[in-house]
Amino acid sequence: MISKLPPGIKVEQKGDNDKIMTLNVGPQHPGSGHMRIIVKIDGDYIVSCDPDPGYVHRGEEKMAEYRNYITNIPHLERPVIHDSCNILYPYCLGVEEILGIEVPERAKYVRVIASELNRCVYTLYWLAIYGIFLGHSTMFMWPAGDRELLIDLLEKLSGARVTHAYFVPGGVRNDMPSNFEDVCLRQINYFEKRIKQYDSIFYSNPILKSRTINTGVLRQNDAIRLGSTGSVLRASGIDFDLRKKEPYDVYDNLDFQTNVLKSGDSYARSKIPWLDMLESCKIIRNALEKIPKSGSVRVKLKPNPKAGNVETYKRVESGRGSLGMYIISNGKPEPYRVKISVGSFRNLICLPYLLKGEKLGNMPAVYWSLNYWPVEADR
Amino acid sequence: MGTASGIIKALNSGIKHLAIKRFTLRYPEQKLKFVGDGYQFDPVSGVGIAGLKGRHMLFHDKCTGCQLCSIACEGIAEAIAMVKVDEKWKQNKKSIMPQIDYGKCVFCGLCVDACPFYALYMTNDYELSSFSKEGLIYTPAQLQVKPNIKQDAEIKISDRGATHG
Amino acid sequence: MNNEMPNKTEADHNKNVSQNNNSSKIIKNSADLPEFETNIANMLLDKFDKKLKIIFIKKNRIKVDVHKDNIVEIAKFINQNLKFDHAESVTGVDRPEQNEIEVVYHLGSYDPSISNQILALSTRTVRESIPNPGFDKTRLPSLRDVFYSVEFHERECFEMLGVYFENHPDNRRLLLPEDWADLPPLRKDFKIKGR
Repeated sequence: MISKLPPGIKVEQKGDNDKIMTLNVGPQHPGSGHMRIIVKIDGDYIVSCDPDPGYVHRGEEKMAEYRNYITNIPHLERPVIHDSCNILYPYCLGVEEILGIEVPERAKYVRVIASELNRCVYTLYWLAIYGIFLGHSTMFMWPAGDRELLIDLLEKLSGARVTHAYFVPGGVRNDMPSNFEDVCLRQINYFEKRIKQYDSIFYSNPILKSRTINTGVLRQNDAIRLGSTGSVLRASGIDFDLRKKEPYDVYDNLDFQTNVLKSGDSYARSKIPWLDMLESCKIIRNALEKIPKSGSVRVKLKPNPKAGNVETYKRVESGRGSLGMYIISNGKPEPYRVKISVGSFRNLICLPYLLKGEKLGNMPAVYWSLNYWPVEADR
Repeated sequence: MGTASGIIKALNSGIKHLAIKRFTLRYPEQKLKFVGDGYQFDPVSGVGIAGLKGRHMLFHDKCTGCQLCSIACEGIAEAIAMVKVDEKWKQNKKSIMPQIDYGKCVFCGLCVDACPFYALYMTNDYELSSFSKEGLIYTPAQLQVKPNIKQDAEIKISDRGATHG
Repeated sequence: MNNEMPNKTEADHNKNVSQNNNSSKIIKNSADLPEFETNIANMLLDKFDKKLKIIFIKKNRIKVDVHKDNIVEIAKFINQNLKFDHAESVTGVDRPEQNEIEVVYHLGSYDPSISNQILALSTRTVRESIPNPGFDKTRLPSLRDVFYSVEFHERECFEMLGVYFENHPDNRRLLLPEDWADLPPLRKDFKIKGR
């Protein structure tokens, strides 16, 4: 009878080892989306761990097959509403390639500015939750407050505080408002000054250090083997940033560097996004200097654009690592298949590996340092 | 860095923070100032005009009842329905105009992009709460009203931190 | 054996090289093909000859189509000799009119010399009109022993397309609910209500 069960379902066998206890962590909503981790513990130590995503699966890939290239925009940004520009970026790049559109130069710079602002907004939100996970409530309040500076900028730029729907195939929806450069420069300078203080309150805090240093160490060859990406990869000592390795739009004109730390523990993984934010400030200032002063920001598309029998795989560096979109077209106004390959989902495989042998109390520190966003992983 | 110096550093940073002004928007009394009068779209150049994507505004003298906004919304939120109005306009033979359900609208603004006649814009009005679901459905007559709200708070940055002035 | 396979993903503007494939095994480095990517494709053709088919070569992208019997062997070669060390995504594409399901592995590398390259390794399996996931002929060998990172991607592909991966240690559900008894949702005959 049991052998007749489909492979998707397993009947749990009663264990003979009474020492091991199964504990369901979640599915709760720690400010990000529902996610369950089934851990088996022996005393205080984790024996094995089985992540169980899927509580916020909404079938974005299926939905995208029923909508045309433009109306796909508002729902494709829903998995990460804080990082909505970055999740639309590979989609727009892909659609531009299969439709053969060349984006105006000014639009490319506006896109870079918007996506860097968005990366900071996402990272601050993530950092705030990381603070509250570790019981550091100051680290919850400060990023949540400073996020307002950037949300305000994005609201001026795109007209919405989150879910901007700002990128479209062919450019961006609207040009920057008239005095945006000055306001942006002023707020970014102040913002940079603010986030530099996080070092003294959070990153050199001895309590945080003792909780995160040497917990959940991901060695370099394991990071490669598990195919991790983004901040997890760079914290393990591999210099891989798609903005440098495969520069899209105008990232090859801009002056910035990637941050790499060697240790691969939770501390390094929590520090890389913060260093990236400082780098993002540099990119935004640099882009504001180099942006062409005038010009169009959007190419006019036909109402229902159609592509031939082509396929494309485009990827960008989002707040959570490489974000790829595989778009297959078959000559209809709707894409034949859209596959979203997200950094959160790729980093999830590290979780069982990292938590093995770790104390249960360290689980939040390891879990959230993976830069994991449940809604994005479920799509 | 040692434990003691780490704690002193954190305390020092916290004490410095006491002198910083409060960075909180006191919302119902203060309201954020936005760029322009809301998101608009210029169909000739194909580029939008920056502004907040809030409640829509419908210009009855320009709407032709072409349903393009409703078609654009079909794949997104299905919030726009075309309804009959008791008005006679020579450009609107069928006398139909969009009615928007803000219980469904996601404020993406793609209906504004779809309108070729400058008839549908978005405004700075974002206070759309209602006690009933029916109250969220805005008829063409309600959409015609220009919102009148005082929004003047802006982020000001001084030596003592940022404030909503 | 691959030459009989219908190839729908060929496009006019994709630099299609599969025609001159049969006459001369090695792709001539013409001006419109990027050099580095052509070299990788030639290395694959050198080794495996008729077992694989280069579908397109674009800037930073190569797509290779292989038969499912050879995929483990070729994947091992790609992993060990070409330094592609992880899989970025595993995509199942349902193609009902050809009665097959295509599975595309997007392989990437963290080696600095080729880290901008993506090698798409595609293979095809039989599609059954009345699927019985796990028990029907819709099967593929798993690449989990070659690329460890495909583990969750293949689990997702199994539940979404009904492609059973043989030798995969853990073929449980991942995203879908445990009681999902309908068609695999990313098949084309599964329709969203109201559309």
